[in-house]
Amino acid sequence: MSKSIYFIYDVIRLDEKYLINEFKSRSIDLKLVNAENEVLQINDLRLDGIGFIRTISQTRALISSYIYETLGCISINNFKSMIIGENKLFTLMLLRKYGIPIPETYITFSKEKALELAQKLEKPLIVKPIQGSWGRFVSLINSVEELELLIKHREVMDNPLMKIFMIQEYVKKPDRDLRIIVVNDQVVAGIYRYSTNDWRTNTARGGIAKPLKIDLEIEEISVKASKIVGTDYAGVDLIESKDGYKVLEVNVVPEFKNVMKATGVNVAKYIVDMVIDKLKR
Amino acid sequence: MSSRKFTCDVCGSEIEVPADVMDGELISCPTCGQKYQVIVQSENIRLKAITVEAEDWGE
Repeated sequence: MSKSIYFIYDVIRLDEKYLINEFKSRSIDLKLVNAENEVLQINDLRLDGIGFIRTISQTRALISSYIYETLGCISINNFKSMIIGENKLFTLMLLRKYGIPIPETYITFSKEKALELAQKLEKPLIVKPIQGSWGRFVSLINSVEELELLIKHREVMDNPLMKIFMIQEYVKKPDRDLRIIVVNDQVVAGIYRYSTNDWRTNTARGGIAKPLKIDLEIEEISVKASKIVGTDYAGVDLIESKDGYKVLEVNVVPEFKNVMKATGVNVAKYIVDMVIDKLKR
Repeated sequence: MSSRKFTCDVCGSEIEVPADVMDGELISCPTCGQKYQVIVQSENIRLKAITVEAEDWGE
């Protein structure tokens, strides 16, 4: 059985285009698998190679990772790191356990306790779903009344994850955060993301990317965070607090097109090199 | 490959799909901005209208 790279996708973003073009310039067996159309008979199937997971849907990414890992492939990223990375609470708790600075964070299943917290803590506060993407439903709360309104909105949502409240201090920081791309435990490039018309800095929300110089402190915290979550490559999000950098997230199916555009570093090449290296091992 | 010209469901303008399009790629109607996902199956191209991004899309 020859080894293949199974490139699992649904929507092709510019990131996936860069990756596919990079793979096509190498002599390897690349199989493009559209996760939306795929049927797998799982009883007898064995696969050898890499399941490279690049779906835009987080749910499909997680499940595809399990499928390819269990069928005999190496999943990139691996299933365990996907579970942790796709959950902001799991990520932050694990990072904290190993001494990585994170924003002050509270978790509760109770809306009453959430309101009590909001009463007590210094505002503004950030209320986030523990799972979510592109900053969706991430809210800045200036008063208890605003949290009451948010709770009312969440009550009509069917998703049970929306009944869990992760409340974070609003870290006083410049109007930017950092996106650092780590591949194979090395930082390859990074950007500042400036917010424009939104307090959130996600480039998917219109944040603007500017190149940054990677210093030792950035390198150390980003690589450590990637290692703790157990990723082969990741997009680590940092903020600058008065006590130094804090980690917000470790993205396990990271978007990097804005990093490529702002820095000129061919991030796709680094990622493809890492995937092919794993295939050959 | 089949025709690469389509009519937008929303505004009726012509949408031309680029020659190097990939299955799964997103394109927008040049006139009204309606988003479509391109579906390429055995040389046939279809456009699937997307009204809103799914809740679990993104990083």
